[in-house]
Amino acid sequence: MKQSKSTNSIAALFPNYFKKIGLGMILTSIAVVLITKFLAVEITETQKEIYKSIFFDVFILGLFFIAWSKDKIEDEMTLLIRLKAIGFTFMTSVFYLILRPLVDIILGDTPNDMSAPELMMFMLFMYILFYKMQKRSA
Amino acid sequence: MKNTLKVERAKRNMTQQDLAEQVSVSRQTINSIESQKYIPSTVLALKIAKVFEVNVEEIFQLEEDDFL
Repeated sequence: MKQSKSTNSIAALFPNYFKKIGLGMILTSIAVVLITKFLAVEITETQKEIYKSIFFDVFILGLFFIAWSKDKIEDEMTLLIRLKAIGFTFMTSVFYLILRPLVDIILGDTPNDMSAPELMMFMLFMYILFYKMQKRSA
Repeated sequence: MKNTLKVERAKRNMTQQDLAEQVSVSRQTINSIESQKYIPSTVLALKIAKVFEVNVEEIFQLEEDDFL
């Protein structure tokens, strides 16, 4: 279906096929981690950190592609839903950032700072979740 | 804002999908407009009115609440 010019100019989103690329990246990164664990490949601590960093990068990029690519039919209502989802994500992220150390304290752990990849993953998950929920109820 | 989209569509024996295709939106969007969950933009309202060959006000009418 031909999409509205105004919708296309507002939303700088990836094409729809990026959803599949994103899903592929996520599945690949999970598969690599599982295979490494299963085969019990011996790696040094430095290598472990590098692989962990690569895993997070690929996983986050995959989530981002899924979140930030067009639906099959992208119109003004989906743009509004996206806006609401971004607002909800922003709000929940602030609460998550504040409440997470409290949960650590309640559970008796030492409160530690949240890493950027962790926060980014949380935000992308929340965005995708809220977007899907809103779209289903629309 | 209320609308008579469903009535206008029924008069012309048109499905939600038919209308959606003519105004380049999803069927879900037409359904949301009909159930008054979503208020369309001016452009979309004008496009819908053009498809039905009527004035916008004949399909979309303001309600008392809209003035509050």
